[in-house]
Amino acid sequence: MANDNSCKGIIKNALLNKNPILVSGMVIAPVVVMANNFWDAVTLIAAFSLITFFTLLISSFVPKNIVYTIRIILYTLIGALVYVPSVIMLKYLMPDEVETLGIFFPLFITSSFIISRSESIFFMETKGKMLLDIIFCIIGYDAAVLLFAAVREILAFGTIGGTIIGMPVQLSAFQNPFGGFILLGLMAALFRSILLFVKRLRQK
Amino acid sequence: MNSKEVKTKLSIMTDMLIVLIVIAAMSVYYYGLRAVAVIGVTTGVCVVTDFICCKLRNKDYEKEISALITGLTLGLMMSASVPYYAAAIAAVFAIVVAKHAFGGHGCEIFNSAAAGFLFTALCFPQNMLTYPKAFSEIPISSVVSPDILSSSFTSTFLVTKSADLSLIDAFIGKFSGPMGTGFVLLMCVAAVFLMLRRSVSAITFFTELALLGAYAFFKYDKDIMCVLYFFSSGMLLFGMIFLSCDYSIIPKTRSSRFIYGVVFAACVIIFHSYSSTENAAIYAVIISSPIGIELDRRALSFADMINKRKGLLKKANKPLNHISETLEILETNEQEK
Amino acid sequence: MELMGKIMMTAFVAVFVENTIFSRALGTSTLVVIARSRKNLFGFGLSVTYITALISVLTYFVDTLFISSNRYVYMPLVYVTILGFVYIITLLCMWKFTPKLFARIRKYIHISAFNCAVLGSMFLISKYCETLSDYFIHGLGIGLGFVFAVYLTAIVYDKIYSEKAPYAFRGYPLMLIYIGILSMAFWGLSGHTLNY
Repeated sequence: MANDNSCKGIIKNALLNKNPILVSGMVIAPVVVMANNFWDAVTLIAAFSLITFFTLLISSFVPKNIVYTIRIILYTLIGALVYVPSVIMLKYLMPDEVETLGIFFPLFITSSFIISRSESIFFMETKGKMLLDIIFCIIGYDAAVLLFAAVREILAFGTIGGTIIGMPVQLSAFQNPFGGFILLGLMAALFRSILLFVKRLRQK
Repeated sequence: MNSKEVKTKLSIMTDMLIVLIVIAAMSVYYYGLRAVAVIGVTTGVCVVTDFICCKLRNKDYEKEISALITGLTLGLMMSASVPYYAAAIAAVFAIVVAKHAFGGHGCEIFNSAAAGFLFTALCFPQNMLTYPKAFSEIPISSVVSPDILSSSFTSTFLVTKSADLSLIDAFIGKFSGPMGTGFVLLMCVAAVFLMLRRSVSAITFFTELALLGAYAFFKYDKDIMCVLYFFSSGMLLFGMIFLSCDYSIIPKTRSSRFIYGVVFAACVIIFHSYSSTENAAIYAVIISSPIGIELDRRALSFADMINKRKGLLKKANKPLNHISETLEILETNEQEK
Repeated sequence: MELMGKIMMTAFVAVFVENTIFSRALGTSTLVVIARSRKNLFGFGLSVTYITALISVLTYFVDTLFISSNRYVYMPLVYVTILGFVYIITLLCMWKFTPKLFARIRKYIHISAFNCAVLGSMFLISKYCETLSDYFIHGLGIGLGFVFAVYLTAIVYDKIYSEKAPYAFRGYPLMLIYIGILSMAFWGLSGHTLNY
């Protein structure tokens, strides 16, 4: 499973077995701090997807014969350059939400996707598979963040997307970063249990 | 685990249970049926949740009393007016997240009751940190009217640095606060009983008492009454006996217990001085728990180093609870020489 | 004496009250990776602290030069350039003068330089500090706070990856829960969620 390099295997790994946020623990900080509700999560994933996709796409053309020390700096510089039009565009489309993101928007430049996963996984693949892997990793991350934010909003505020759903109790601790850590840990454990359960069902 | 260790753990837990039941009886005397209801909810939910978790983990449900102790400890830390759902949520968090997620009894990193209480206090600060007066009529309904509630003695004392409380009232816990953490006299008797039975570490307790006593003595201009108020407030004495000296999280070696006591006291002092938070003992227990684990590891590697130097390599691999034996052997060898 | 007290208080706030991991969650991914290895902890911690302290000083001078309403657009580029510059100079100096140390730390120096904690520290310092000494002490404090958080996580690594922990929780989920519970306790020092 871990070495399945077919397209199906890549998609499965990106979405499920090596889901960036629920399994691999990548780019946790903005999720834990900022993804307090569904719409903040939408802004977060828009920012993350734009910066990560275009940075990785452009960085894949950096020649591999350049020494690693310089390559890593080039990746982050490319990320910082991609950030400029991304922030201008998103600030135009959703100014208040981008303001709420604060320093976490530019922090995507030095995310684990760009610093470590690029060299260890993405750039070792062929261009086609690399694109597939990046796109589905981003989709996997986005889906997990949206789900996490929805659950968090329900527990912390009793709403979803701003609509009150009549929860009997609101656990306001989940509004804070520590609540985000605990909830993400619980969701990661639940996700792992589900994967294990499905795997055992298939084996039977 | 051999039968001697099992008996020792059971003996410790039984002693804790007895003391907690006595304190619970006092809180029932002060707060009536409401106290019974709240403690009943926390204890019942803890036991049921523990049972469910064991079944989900395909483990045999051993009739151990750790869940009972967690429930009782949690209940006694609550306000008598806390809504039942808040008490239940604290119990579920304590058992599921702070206990079973880490592997169950004996594998915890944090004291379950402290973690559960802290989580719920941050979820429902209004409900958890307002208290009815002792001997007042508190309805059995889940939500209590705020008219009969007031802030705790601790919050008043933290702000004003004084209190209009007589010596007797301070000793018997007749002030607004958590149900079972203000009975200073009873706590002292409990501490002595548990230390004589070796169910609580005297080293840790007296280290904490000395350091915190010295801190309060100088902070409050050598006013003995203020020192007494300091220990009566913020669940401090309760935290020192039942939370920081919890068998499952306290370090196992003597030197580690001393340092752990120092760390706990330092954390209480920092929280008390810097943030003026009401229940500094709870925060201090959470932060000092992982440090206790490291202290034991350091003590073991130090003992290993001594063993290797003395050429007693064969004894280097003994488990933690034999550190004291190793050190005794070394001392005996020195005397023989 | 007063100055010393102010410095101590600033450092205390940066290390404990506004801890990079427990209060701001910056660099959590890096912590998850590095807490696995207790051997490199000291070296990693030293390199992070060195980098945050040095770039905080450079950030001060850069901030005094770039004052504009569009800072949020191009400052990341400027900060990343500073980071790259410090990274290269550090590696060159170590390769030239301390080759043994260079060989030992080259595996993880890039993680210690390019992570959210370091870049985030530049933004935070720029936002909340005014004088050069504030910048430097905060930068140093952020590095030390990060190291403190990594140490607190590494010491319970055996328990988090223990076979006694349920499989669903073992490792990464339990690490998050552990950080969450500690973060709850550190939250008590500030009493409120910090601004970004």
